[in-house]
Amino acid sequence: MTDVKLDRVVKRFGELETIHGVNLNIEGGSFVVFVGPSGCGKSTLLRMIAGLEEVTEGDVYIGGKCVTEAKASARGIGMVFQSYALYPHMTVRENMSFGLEVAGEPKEVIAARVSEAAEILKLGELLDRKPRQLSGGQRQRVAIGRTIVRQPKVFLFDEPLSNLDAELRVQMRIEITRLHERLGNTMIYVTHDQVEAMTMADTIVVLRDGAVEQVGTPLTLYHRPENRFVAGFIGSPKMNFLPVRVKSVGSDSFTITLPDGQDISLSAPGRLPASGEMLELGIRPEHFIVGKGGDFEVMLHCDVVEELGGTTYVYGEYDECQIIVEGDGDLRIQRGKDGLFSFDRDRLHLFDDKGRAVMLQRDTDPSAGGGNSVATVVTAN
Amino acid sequence: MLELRTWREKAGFIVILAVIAFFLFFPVYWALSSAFKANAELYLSDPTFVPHRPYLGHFINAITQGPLILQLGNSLVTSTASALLNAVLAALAGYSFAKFDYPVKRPLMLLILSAQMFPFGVLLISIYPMLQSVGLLDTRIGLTVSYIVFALPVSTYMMYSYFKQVPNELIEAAKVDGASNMKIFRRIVMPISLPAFITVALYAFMWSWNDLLYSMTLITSDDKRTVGPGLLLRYINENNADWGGAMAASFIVAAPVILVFSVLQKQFIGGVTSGAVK
Repeated sequence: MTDVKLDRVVKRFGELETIHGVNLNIEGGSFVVFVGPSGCGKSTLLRMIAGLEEVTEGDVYIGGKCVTEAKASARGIGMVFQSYALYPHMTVRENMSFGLEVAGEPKEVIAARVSEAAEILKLGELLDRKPRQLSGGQRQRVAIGRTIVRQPKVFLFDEPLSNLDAELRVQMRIEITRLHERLGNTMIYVTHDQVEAMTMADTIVVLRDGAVEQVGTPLTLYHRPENRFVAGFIGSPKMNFLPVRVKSVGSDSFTITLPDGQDISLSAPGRLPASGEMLELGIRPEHFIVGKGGDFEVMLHCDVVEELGGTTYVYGEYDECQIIVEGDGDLRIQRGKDGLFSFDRDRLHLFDDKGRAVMLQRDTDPSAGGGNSVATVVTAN
Repeated sequence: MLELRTWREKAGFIVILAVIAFFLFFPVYWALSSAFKANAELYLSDPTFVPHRPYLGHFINAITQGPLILQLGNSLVTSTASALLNAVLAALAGYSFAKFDYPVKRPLMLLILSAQMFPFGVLLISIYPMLQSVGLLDTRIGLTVSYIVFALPVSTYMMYSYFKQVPNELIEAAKVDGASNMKIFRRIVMPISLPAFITVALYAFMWSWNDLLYSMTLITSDDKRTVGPGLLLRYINENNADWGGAMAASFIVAAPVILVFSVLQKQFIGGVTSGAVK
């Protein structure tokens, strides 16, 4: 089980700083996903761990050893690339053997490891084919196989599923998760797809503009986002945000006023907002209740209704705020009509004008049972 | 895409094509026709377009009399060696420019290309004393090395453009696999760049094969002469102008090039178009 540690890692391209002193501890054997929008630096961070990108400042440790200056091949890592990066002139067998040949392994060892990896990934019949004769999913499996045969301590995946169609993505997602369970190695996986992140990760590291926004288990990030960015990024469709004003503040509670004038009283165990402060209230589309039944009710003017069979999305307006509601497939609402929805106090999120979450007292903790995070940020930025 | 709608447009297009084809192929036809004409027919004041009686004497004389076969051998050796040397150097330089970053990269690329800006005759002025000083004047090795001047700058750019398209991830994957830069070049990059390599080698081969000036100046011994000066000195000189012999010998000389092109045509076209269609 090999730990990976990033210690104040900075990356500059000339004058431009793209990674701003990231600190991260990744426990051995964990499946950690770096997620964030395009250009957030997740691939750069992965490439710095791989040794394919120079670290401008700070250090990278793999298995407790500083590898900042070490070559990619000396780090004990294996990498799967977005474009598969299979050697097009070599057969599947040759692709998988290449790294071992370079390392000077005996032929019998190479043959044994290739057949073992081929068995794991069901590549047995494809070993003598060239990459051009394979489908996208098969190519990706070969790319993973090429990594497995080298028996790396840490697997690095750089958006490996983005070139596959939706159905194959789901299939490969499951295969990679199974592979992690079988091998038990540390795996670091980069994606911009938050569904991939939520379904595969033990721990998610959310990145934005070269800095870590939050680290946690998928459910912690979903239920307890530390800021507005994470709240908006995790979850699909994304969280609804409404402007609210703090009406009054007590000793451990405060009252906010919704855009339609409705007051909501909330308790906060920590920092309380100031009276008159403008906040943003967040509520996920799937946390609306159709009709009465929740703690608070809102009337929504429904503009668009998307019926997908199992799920229905309602796009509507609530006091000049655009709202998305996710209901089950039985939900029947007519376009252009008003609909009554409600929500519970425990499902609310609040963010201050800097985007930081205001921690709220909840009667139930929905993030409980999400497991412990196996990556921790020592200090972000 | 050119779309021809009316018959006038089509006719106009065909006429233009015919004129271009005439200028392109008529000299070749005329040379071929002359090669098969006996001298009596060749020098008629009223020229014939088709030989009255095909005459093979010029071909037989070109092969059996004089040093044409020896000169062909010399040309083949120097052109092949220079083509390979050029392609190898262009591949190494092009790869370095395409995939590595170092401070003098841009000036170095411009410097290499600037060699192409000078007329070849001007470069000969400096090449001559250089070869003389290292004792390579009047040697096939000296001629081979001097031929690099013709094609290396453009070849380097051709290889550079090709290598630019080789995905970096492929090279990075090989790095993660533990391969050294040279191994990556040899085992990964070169095998997939073979069409470009062959294109560049053919390009250099043609330049060397068609050379007259360098061979004429740098080679003085008859036994080392290549076909260009060989044809000129034997068939068209101040005392003699054997046009029939010159044409027949020219076709014999062109045969290896045509053969090489026919064999490697697929790779050549692949190399030329590889940048356009991905």
